[in-house]
Amino acid sequence: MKNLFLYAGLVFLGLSLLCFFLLLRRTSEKGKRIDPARLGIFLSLCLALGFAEGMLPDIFLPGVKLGLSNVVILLAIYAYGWKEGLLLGVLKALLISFFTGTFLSMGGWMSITGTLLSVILMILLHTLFKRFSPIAVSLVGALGHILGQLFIASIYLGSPIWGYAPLGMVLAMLTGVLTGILATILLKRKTLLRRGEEA
Amino acid sequence: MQAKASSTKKRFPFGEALFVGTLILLIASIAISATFWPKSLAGVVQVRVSSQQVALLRLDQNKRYEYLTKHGAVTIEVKDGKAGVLSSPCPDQLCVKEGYKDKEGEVIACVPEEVVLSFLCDKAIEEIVV
Repeated sequence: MKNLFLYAGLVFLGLSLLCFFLLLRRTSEKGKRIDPARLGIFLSLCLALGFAEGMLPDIFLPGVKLGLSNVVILLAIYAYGWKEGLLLGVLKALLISFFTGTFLSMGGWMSITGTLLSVILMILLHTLFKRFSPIAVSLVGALGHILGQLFIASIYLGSPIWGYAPLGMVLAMLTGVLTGILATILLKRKTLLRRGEEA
Repeated sequence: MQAKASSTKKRFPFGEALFVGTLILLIASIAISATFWPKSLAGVVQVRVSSQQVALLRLDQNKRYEYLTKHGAVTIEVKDGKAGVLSSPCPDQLCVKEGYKDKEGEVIACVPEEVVLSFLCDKAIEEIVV
């Protein structure tokens, strides 16, 4: 089992590097190239917010956080497109687990799976229903995050851990709506939405 | 540009409200049924360390048990038909703060030590043994 996770980790590392280089060469939606500098700024914001949150005390359970870095990913999906959102999610999951020293351990896997599942669900919902505001998308992302984490926890600790699912989903709902409201407020500031046409 | 933006803003998003509403109702109903469902008293506690079942503890005899884990040993106490974690080497001590439980279907988990106690009814013993 541990070997399987080791191989999965290496495959994930390779795939994320591959997708980073491939996506940087392609053009994003609306025919513009993905800007590495902008991506770097968003990624560093993501990581900084993730770290700052890690220093705050937990709300109810260990690992229950507001998910401020999720706001950045939401902004990237809404303002720039799904490719940047996916890139941000993959890189953030990988780098956070590197920096906190949890890569290839249970905590690292929980955060990687949670982040990836939430980003993929958010992108799917955003592309299916363009009209949906960040609140609904962020709610679904938060639920995906907790379910991905519980899935990894159930592999490491056994299936009874799903008993925490109702409480986790309620907390995810609250934090998801809060981050969604925050993202809506930030998206109203039009300077964020400009795709560098003036620069 | 401005007029266009304001005209799209005014419309109430029915589809989104429906989606969010059903999701919230679904989760709320799951949570409410999970918390208020009548539970019977548990007869045994299944102890798992790193997802492997290590022991089935009877709840009718007062005793303390110790299990070796990643960073030391976790002590589990059975007292007056209830079981809980007495001490653990983990940093947050959340498993100790969860206290003692005795209802069927409840769970006490210590994530850093990979220890999970799940409370089962008496019939579960027969199923596991047979």
